[in-house]
Amino acid sequence: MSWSLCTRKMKSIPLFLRRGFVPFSSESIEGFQNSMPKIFDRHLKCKQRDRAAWLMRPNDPFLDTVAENMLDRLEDCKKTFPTALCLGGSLEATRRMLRGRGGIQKLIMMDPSSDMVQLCQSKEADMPKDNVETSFVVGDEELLPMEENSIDIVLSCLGLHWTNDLPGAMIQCRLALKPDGLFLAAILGGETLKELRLACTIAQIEREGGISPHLSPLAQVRDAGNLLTRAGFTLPSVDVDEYTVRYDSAIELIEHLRAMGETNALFQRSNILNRDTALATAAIYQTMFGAEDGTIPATFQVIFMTGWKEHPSQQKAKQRGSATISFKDIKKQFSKES
Amino acid sequence: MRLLTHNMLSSNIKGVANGFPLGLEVQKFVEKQVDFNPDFLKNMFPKIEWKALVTAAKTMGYAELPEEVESSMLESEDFLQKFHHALLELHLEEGALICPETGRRFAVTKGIPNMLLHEDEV
Repeated sequence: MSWSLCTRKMKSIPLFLRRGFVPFSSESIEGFQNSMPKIFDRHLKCKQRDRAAWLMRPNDPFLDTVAENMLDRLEDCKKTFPTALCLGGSLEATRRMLRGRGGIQKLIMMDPSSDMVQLCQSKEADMPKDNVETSFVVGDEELLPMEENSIDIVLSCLGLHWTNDLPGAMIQCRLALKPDGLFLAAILGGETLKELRLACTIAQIEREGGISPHLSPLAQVRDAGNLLTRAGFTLPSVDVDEYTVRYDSAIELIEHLRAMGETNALFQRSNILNRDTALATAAIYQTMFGAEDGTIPATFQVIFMTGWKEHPSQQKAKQRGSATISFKDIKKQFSKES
Repeated sequence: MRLLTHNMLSSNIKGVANGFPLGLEVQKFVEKQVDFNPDFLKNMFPKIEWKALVTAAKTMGYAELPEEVESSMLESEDFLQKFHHALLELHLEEGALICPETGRRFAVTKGIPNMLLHEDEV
């Protein structure tokens, strides 16, 4: 799947070069003393999402496609989910793409960014009339403010990959779910922006003689199943989609990432990208990956995760050693017949 | 914020054993008319923590809900209308939600509760 995104006039200095230097704050130092590992600066991520609320493109085709593919999984479920919690990420796209799927009647939309929540609230009037009672909460995915056993389904489209404690956040989702409740999430996987990672690494080695993290670490596909099991979900399933989005330049890609609130939020980030390095990154990107028409591709790997809260009605694997027929006997039986 | 939402929210402050139900501090509330949907109400009824709803409705100045309920009451149109009004038509616009254990106030602005915690509460 690929599409071109419209170009816009850029100011002389690319936006991603004009980041102010943020000193290492006492707040973030306190974070390191906390028992939970702090990989991402959640305060910064909140600010980035506030900004994204104003930069967000209406009907972004990438976000719409991911939300559509995630919600499409509800079509395979006979069960209905009257009360739903939709966690941060592409909230607005998820709400728009819902279209009565899953039998959702009550939807709580939650994001740590108050601007993003207000944006969703203001757009609610434009949503299709699908008899969904929608309410809005400013809250943190890492510390869910939900009563236990109160929700039928938790949806998260491209939000959970920014949590410091992903298993912990998923455990909280499970606790908020009722028995036989569904957890359905889409997160960005480790292959996301592989072209940009490579171009940035080469540019940094060439211009600065070393590398520092400018792109955030993301979960690998093999980890996703373990995460679901570790969080206590039953019947876990994981599948992966890769999307290639074409841009006119690396600068436009960065613009799109900013508009999605997906820019770097690592605690140990270098706060400014050297101008030379940035221009070299753009040039290397264009040289290595540019198409004949001048556009560049960006890969987004999306991992879809599905898990259920335990319930007696769910099928369970038999105890080990409880089988009454051995596979050897079955093999013999088949070889006799043939 | 409708009382339906309030009925699902809980305080998640570190060390708080029972953060539900959150208290209400009302500065401004509005009544917004919502289409009456008996099926929706019947679906939601088993999921509602009734005492919390009654207390919250009283705080908003609505004392028409019975203290005790049973599922047979869902056959009564009068009961459903009262339930509908309390659950969906009373909106807390400005005020706060209060943690029952610590007294911590979570501000409600333009109908949106802010449940984010401070660093020392995590």
